[in-house]
Amino acid sequence: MEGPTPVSALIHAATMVTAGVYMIARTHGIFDRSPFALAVVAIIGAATALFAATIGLVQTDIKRVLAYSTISQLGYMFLGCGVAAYSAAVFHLMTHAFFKALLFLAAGSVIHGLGGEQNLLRMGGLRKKLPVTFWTMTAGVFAIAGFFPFAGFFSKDAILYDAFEHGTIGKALYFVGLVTALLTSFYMFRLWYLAFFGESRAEAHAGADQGISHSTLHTSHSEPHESPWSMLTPLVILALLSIAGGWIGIERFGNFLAPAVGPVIDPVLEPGGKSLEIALGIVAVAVAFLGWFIAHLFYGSKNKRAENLAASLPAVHNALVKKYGIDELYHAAIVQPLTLGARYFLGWIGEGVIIRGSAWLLAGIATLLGEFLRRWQSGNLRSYSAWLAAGAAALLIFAAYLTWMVR
Amino acid sequence: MEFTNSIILTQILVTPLVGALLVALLPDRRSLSRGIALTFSLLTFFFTLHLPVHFNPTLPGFQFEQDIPWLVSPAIQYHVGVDGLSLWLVVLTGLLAPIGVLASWRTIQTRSKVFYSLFLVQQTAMLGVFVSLDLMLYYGFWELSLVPMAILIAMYGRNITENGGPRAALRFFLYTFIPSAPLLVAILWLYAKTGSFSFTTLQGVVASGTLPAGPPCWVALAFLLAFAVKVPILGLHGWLPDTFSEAPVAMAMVVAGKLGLYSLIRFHVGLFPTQARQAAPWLIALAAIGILYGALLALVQKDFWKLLAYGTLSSLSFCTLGIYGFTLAGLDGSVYQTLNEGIIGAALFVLLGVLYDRFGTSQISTFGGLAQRTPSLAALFVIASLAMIGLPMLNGFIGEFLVLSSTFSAVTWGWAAAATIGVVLSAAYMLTLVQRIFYGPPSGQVTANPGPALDLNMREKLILYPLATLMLIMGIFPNLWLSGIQSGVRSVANPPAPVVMKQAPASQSLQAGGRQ
Repeated sequence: MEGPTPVSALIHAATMVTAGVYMIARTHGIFDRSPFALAVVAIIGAATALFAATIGLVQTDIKRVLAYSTISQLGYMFLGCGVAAYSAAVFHLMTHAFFKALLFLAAGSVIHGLGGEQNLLRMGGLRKKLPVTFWTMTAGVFAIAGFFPFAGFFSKDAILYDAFEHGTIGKALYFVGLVTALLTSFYMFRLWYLAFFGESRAEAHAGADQGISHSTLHTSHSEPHESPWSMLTPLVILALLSIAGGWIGIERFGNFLAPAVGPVIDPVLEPGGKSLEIALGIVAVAVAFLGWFIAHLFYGSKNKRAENLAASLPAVHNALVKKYGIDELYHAAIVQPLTLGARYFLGWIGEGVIIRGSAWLLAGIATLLGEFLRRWQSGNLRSYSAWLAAGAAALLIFAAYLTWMVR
Repeated sequence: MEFTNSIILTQILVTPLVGALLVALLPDRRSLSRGIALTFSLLTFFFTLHLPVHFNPTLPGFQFEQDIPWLVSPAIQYHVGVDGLSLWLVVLTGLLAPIGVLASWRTIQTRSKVFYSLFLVQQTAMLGVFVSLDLMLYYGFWELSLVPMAILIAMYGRNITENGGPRAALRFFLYTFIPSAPLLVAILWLYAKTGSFSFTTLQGVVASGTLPAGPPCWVALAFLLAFAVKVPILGLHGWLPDTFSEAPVAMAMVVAGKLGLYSLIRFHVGLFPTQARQAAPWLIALAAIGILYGALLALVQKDFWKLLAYGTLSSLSFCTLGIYGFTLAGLDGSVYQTLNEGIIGAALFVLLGVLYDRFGTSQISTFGGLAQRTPSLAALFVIASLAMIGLPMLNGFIGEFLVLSSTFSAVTWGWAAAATIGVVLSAAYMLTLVQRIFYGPPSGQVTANPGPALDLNMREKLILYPLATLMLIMGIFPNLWLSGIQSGVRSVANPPAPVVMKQAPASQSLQAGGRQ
């Protein structure tokens, strides 16, 4: 997320998902043998989806919103893996790659057009000034929010359907997924409204220091401008894929993957499957519309609703802005004990007392020995001659002793 | 060719000595001394390359042997030879010598005659340790390798603290010299019982079990102690941090690791297999704890030499861990990791030496934001760090992977898990170091140095590019090295368990490790 935007696009669209979701789908043979492990995966997935989506609600950095949406979508894919719907998970992996790469690159185009500005609160009104970026990003927003017939609809629908069909726990997880879909739709349209609609807030917020430090370096930039076609061409391609990428359908995609991950759960073959699938699809789109509607209420026109809501629930808002304190928790629970333990326990007691101590002991013995030997090398001629005489006497006695013994 | 093969090792041993003699006899001029040292170390390296070219990994036993009676009584032979275990260590030692000379090119300002002649003597001593097959000869080279090292640390120490060089030298000398006294006694005891110093003869006698039962245990322990200090193994590493922060770069990069580890495999495991197996649980525990201990301490060091010292302790413990599992894969991994440590350690020492030369300090907190000013330095530093962490495609991965996988399968998963956490911690301390030196806002001393000369110069690139290339090649084509190493360590590994399942032919590189 902190890297250059194309790198973020690559990491979020491909690397992160490959590391986790692909690995589980690839090793599904192991997971299939343990319903418990699968349940853990599913619960972690649903919890991650909800958790990251709630953080995404309040972020003001455009890339940060997208970063948390990636985590949330990864949660969906894990949910899919956890209910043994591997082809649905991989299907979502693919469509997510299209629209998440698109969203990141479009965000990069926005940031570029504003001369480095990443704070949503200082954007606004960019629809006319960055038309290509606007329209392509709109495709991405609709795709991730799950509108029919955009790519995200098909893959998210497949995961939610498979979760719903997965027993009681699956139904509970389905509702978590549905709430997440609502939140996703909301925060993506929030981003959409804040960046592209209304008046430009570049000047209004110039004084308020809400953003990241380096964006202040760029506040005195020129008019927002559209990016060159070298940047826009990928956006157009990805936008087309975000629209049409899901039309391949989960059945065909699942059949393609079947040799690797096992057969797809086909709604047509289940009792009442087709109608259930259609019903769930309608619910999902309705939820996406609801999210859009709420976002429209809050950000569609100039009003204080969002601020008022945040002010009325300060504890919740604060927890979300601070990302539930996860970073702090890690620091306090892992980093701090490790470094303190290493510095004081290992550093002082291990190195300081035991290792140093033994080395000093060695050096001390050597010094004492040297001191003892130094006494001999006194430079005193009389003591030297005395030692010489003593040595000669010792030798003589020894020789005499030997000769006497031999005889 | 037969003749060349029989004298090549002698040639390798004598060349640095001739160089040392020339440096000592010719006038004390810096450019002259270092020129001769470079010429002769390059020549030695060139000769060592003869070994892998003509080495035949399918033959058992030693190759390039030369066996001349030296003294009749006691029966000391000038017996040298190389097998797969020592082959690449000889080449590595050959490679590191010209790199050491080049690394000292500017830093050694005074008394360069003393420095370079002792440097070359040290070179002969280290090569001698690897090729000696007569225990008395081996002991001579072993001792010889300690003396120039101690003198050079004392004379050319950085003196970061008051009188730091001599103190570090004294500590190093005491730590390494005191245990070599029992080593000598042990060698003499063996001679008294068997009438031979020859490694192969002794190996046969010990294996036949004709020695009295009690003493070999003590003899093996004396061997173990002398070598364990030189590795160093956890608890005996007291000399390492000071030596690393004081010793000149050319010395520090050869002081730890390969001599001790080679001797452990050859003379402890190889000569006393029964006793080594008795000691193995303790050594495995020390190694696994050492990996964590070193890594955790590296994490909190404020001085980069000390960080490198504890990091080295951690990664050398991997080698020990691999040796005492007695699996073929583990021993392969250990020797490979020993080579890696030599190469990566040399690169990191040179890189940190460059930083120290430019800024005159080793406090990590005084650096920051250097990458903008020194792109080549930063790039090479990152490559060496990643190799040290054990990133796939770089050499560190192969060694660590072989050791870890063999520990998982042949020892216990507990120690293997501890060692695996050590890998994660190694990423933590190396990447934190990279981040703090090269990224973030530029520090005061970096901005205060506006000159363009901060980045690597031609000579430094000449040292570092080959090392970085080698890291990459060793990471991608490990079999170039592993086939030779395997022929050397097979004899000390446990006989492989009968293979039940047919092994898949895939994964060439890992297959070389073999499955036990």
